Amino acid sequence: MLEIRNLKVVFQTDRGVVKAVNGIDLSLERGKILGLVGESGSGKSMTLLSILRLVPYPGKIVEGEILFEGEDLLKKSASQMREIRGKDIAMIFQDPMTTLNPVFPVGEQIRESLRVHNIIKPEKEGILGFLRERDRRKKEYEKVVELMEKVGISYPEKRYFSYPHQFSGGMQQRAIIAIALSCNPKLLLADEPTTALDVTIQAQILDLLRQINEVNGTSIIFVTHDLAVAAEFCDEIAVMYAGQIVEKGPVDKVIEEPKHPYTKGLLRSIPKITRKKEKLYVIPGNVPDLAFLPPYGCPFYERCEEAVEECKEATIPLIEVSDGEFVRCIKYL
Amino acid sequence: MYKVPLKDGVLDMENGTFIQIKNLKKYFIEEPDLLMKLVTKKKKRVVKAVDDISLDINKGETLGLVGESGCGKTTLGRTIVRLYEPTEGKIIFKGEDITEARGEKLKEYRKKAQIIFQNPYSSLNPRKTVRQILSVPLIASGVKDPHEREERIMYLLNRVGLNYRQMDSYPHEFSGGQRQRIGIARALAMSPEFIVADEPVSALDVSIQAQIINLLEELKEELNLTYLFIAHDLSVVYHVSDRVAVMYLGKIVEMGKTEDIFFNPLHPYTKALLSAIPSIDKSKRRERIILEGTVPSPVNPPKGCRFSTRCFVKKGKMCEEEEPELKEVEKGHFVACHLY
Repeated sequence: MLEIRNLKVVFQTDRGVVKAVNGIDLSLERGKILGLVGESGSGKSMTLLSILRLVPYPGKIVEGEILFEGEDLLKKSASQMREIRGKDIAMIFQDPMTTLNPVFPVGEQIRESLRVHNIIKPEKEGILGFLRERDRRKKEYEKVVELMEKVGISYPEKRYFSYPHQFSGGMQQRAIIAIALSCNPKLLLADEPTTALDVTIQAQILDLLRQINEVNGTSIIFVTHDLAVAAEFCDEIAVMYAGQIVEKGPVDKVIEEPKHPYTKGLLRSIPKITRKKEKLYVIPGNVPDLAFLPPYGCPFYERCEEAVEECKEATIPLIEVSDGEFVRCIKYL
Repeated sequence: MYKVPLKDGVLDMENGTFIQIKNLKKYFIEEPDLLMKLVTKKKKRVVKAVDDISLDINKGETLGLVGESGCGKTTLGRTIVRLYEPTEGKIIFKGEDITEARGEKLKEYRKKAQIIFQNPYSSLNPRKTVRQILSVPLIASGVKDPHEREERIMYLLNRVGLNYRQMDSYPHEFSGGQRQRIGIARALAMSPEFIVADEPVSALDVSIQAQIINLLEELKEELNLTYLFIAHDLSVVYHVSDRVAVMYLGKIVEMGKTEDIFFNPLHPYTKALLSAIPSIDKSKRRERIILEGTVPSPVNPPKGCRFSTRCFVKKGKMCEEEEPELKEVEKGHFVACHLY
């Protein structure tokens, strides 16, 4: 359904060319949930934004293909893209407070998406066109109320006219999900949708997203830095580091038998609730500066505990180690 | 200054209660201005952020404080270090009542009790260099000699894992984790005995989070510190705390040893909170209890048990009318619930 091939996004900055996304291959089947995991600056959000072609200036997609149902999104015109955004592919952003417009009622913001994509078609214009507009508005209002109910906003008729600041964080995120769902998208891009929320609210939102996935068959790409959330929620996981995918595969394989030293390190550094408390593992060093990445060799080389001399030189491809499981590490070459 | 009457004449200063909070309340009162008063019938609103909390922190222990946003955990932390004036109640630090402390007395207290803030991006002044940021607490604690001050700053930076050569850099030149280290160095500058860590790692990435947690643990060992560790991430709290207090809507609903809270939770809210933690270990995943709705507003909290509006094991009328008290059900394990 979605296939990304060798995607590259660069930012031309004063400090040099920052390779935010450096050759990513991903594919997603209908009805599946894919988790993109990585630390801040690993390029996971940029990958997501490039699918909608929303990479902010001075970023640019310089190479690659993004095939959505067989068509390359990178070759579409601006107006074609506008039709796809929100309708076929919808997005949920990280911070609900800044996503909603504070000066419009929440319901109106959900209705806007219905209107823009002509979900409820106007009847033929005539002398009494203005009456039909009223009719259309009413139908849209009803649809919005239905959507709000579906995402679990209580008293939708009343809440339709509330402003975003009158909603709690979880409710705002629900409203945003309602906007995303308004056109019944085939693909939902979720950029850390629960990071700004509390655990109990996070559980509610994840439950809602899972329902949407099961009932509507919507595919989801779920970006998160929380491995535990990804482990519970996704079918497949891709771990990103310095603009590259270092490991991807079915969730059980990646979490239970991690192959790449970075994935192993990440998993070990999460505090766990087990009877025995030990000191937390720390991956040595820091995330490399993307502007000064060496042109060859493994970007994780300096922090890797299992590194060998060749890691510094070799350009390592994504290697298939078992069915559907890929690792970018020299040990598996 | 008022001295606390000691129970049976005993208050072990070395190992005993270090900080005692007694019936602490912090209300924020929002009064409508004159015009609003005349035009509308708006009444004043009282937000009961911290409502009647009593707890003890022992010397050398880490007390974890968990709860959802808006439950008053940050307010409690800030009130304890006297960044907020308590509305009612008492804060007793090493046997001395500092609730009303002013001037020199307060200054003395602040030398001993410091705070690390949540957001390393907004808690450092962007116009000041690290040297300037760290000098302020040093001057306040009486290090007048510039050379001595410089030495102290070098020592502090070194201690928190930063290079002293970065002394004259501005906060924006540091990453999030490094900034949090500066925040920790600032808190350490006073050589405190007690530190309130207000969500010190929640703005950081997993791998950085582990670094900061380890640093805090090392410092505790080395400098014999006592922490009040506030966080909403339960697995972090589990990792650092000796005891845990769970807050809901301005009140403590459960308190006890970390193991007791995590492996034998009694209050339904604690159970729900624990079940909501995502886990990477499949076998550890508990049956999820998904709480309906959101936390009610602290302006007019529900009558009776505050959790009664979302509770899934409610006993009926009693829960809605009577407010449960915090009772000791097992040794050192306190619960505020009518079920026990």
